Amino acid sequence: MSNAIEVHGVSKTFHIPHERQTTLIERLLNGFRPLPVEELAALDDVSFEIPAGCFAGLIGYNGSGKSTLLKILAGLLVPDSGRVVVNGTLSPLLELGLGFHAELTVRENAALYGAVLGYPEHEIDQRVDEVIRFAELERFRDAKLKSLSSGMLVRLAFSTALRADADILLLDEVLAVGDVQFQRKCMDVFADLRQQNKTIVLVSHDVGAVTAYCEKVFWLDHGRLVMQGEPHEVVTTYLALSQQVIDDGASSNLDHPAHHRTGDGRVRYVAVRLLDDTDTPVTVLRTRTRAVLSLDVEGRSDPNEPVFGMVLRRGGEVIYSTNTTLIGARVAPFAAGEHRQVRFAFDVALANGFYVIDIAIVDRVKATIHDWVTNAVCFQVEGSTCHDGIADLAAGLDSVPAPAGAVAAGRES
Amino acid sequence: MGGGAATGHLRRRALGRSIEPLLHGRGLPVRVRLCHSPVFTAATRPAVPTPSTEAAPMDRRQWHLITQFAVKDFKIRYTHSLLGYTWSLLNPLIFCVIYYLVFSVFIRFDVPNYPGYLLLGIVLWTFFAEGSTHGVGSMLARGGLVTKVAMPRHVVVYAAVLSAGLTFVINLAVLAVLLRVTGSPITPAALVFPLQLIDLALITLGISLLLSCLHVRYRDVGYLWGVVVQIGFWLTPIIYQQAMIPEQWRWLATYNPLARIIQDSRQILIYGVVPEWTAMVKTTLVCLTVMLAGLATFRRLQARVVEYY
Repeated sequence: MSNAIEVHGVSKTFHIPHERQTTLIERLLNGFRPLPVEELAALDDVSFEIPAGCFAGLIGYNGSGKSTLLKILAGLLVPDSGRVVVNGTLSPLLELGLGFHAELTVRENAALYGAVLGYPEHEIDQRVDEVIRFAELERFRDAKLKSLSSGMLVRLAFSTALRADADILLLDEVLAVGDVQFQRKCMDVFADLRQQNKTIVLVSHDVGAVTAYCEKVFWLDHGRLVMQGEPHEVVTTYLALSQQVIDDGASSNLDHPAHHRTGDGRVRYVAVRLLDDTDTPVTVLRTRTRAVLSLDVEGRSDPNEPVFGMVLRRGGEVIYSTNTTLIGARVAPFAAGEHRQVRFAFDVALANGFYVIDIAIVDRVKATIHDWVTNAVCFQVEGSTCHDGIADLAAGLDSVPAPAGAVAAGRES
Repeated sequence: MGGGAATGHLRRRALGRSIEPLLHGRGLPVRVRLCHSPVFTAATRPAVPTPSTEAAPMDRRQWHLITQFAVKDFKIRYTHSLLGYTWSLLNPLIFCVIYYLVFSVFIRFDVPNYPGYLLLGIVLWTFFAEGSTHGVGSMLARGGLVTKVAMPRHVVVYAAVLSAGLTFVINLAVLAVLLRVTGSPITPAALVFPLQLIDLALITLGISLLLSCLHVRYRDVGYLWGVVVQIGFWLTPIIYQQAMIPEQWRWLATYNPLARIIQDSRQILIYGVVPEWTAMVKTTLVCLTVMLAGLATFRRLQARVVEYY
């Protein structure tokens, strides 16, 4: 078995009605005239192959067709034309919080979802136990699902999908959620799965994770596959093109589901830019320079006492996180409708590689989350002398001791 | 890292936008219309079957799923209630008592063994009403699952109807007790009763399959079906006798499969008479037709249902 997934000339167009008429009466009144529709070519003649045992990454800007492609691979959507060949069983983990039922217990949910994913009947009990252990939910085994936190739900969904023992695993932005410890655990499992010749397809905005884990990266843009190959090369080009998009004045849409935005929105981010030491928006930073994370913030409803925070990550690993309180700054409350800019300046003490920043606004007193956007900014760091690692500590040589022989020779002369 | 030349090459690809035909498209059968056929072509179907959404012949796994869903559905329905499953008994019993009071005591219908007559009608109708309502709504209700996991989607519909079937079984047990108490003898005619149950299951499933995908697209279907069930209750001889309908309206009961199933069941269980065979066969054929139409419609509509949630 050479290829786990083969996609041959797959196209998919969605017809989006301009005015949504969902009721029969509305359609009757309209005399069943064809509705004015906008055709959205989500995928346009996409072909590629993923070899068995490959950890493949799928990157692209919002709306590039990544999720559509994943849904077609998962057999949820039917392509308009083209052919998809899947060799082996497949376990999808698309958007989280899967078809679980809040009124059933953790066990029952895992058993039900496991049955859907194809756990063999006689192994269900045993596998469900393993799932619960892996998800670290032993204490909540018989708790109703509604009493679980969203992080626990993610862990349960993920563990259940993992234990389906499928040959191919489809993951949509899973690395963006869940705590760092669990993410690391998952990466360990991925390493195991790869050794068992299992195939993983990861869709992510986190270019750091993609370069860290994937062997092959596919880049979709406007429904077309524009590039595929070695992760580092694809991601570098991808970020270079992001730079072009930034130069054209387009700002990223923080509301896109890929960013996993949460919070009550009392104070919200409107735009985010990463600037270099000359105040130019960039996607590539030189190491040992100073960068600015510029955040446009809007107050939605007062009173509020916002604390602003940033989390710098690579893959599942947090490299640095801070907030305005830790820095010792107190940001004045935002009036409703008020717009202001918050700018974090920081040292790019980073090794060469790809990084992402999550941004957050939290209430100072109640610690409730106003806004939390994962993968808000992606960037690349260049110019570091770091051999292997994540930080550039700017090593230099203080004194150069001469070899003993040379010293003796020096004295003689 | 790849040399400058390689990067340049890749960059050109990026700008060129459609590199994939150069790499893979050549000589492959592209642009095959695949509107209503499975995503996974038969020729390439793997040894271990990939979960497809197609209605495949029932296998063990699907049965397991259906029963699991049905049992969990049934369980969920009565959480947060003190009486729990008792409600599935109480509901038809309470209505039965009310109708008995109104129609037998107040209006003085003269029907032999009216309690049994009434309860049988109500129990059969309740299954049809509940099963079809849940069945029609099942695809929408289970959207969270249907849109995220490739599974045989008809499982969801069958499970909804089966879940109503569990209540039905409990109700039938109560009915059996009542018939016993009111002195309706069990005769060999009762052997024909399973045929009525099959008819009932077929028509309930058929309607559910017929409308469940449509319901996702047009929510009206759900409301409309609710109205049909309400009207149906009064147009079907459940609390009254078919003979009470004036001659010119009698066709309403004659062409109503539910009326025929209920009437025949009464003949069998209460009066111990085997109904006329040709009439029974006709009813079965109608129910079978509805079921086949439902299967065909579902098969056609389920492929693209995900786009309409």
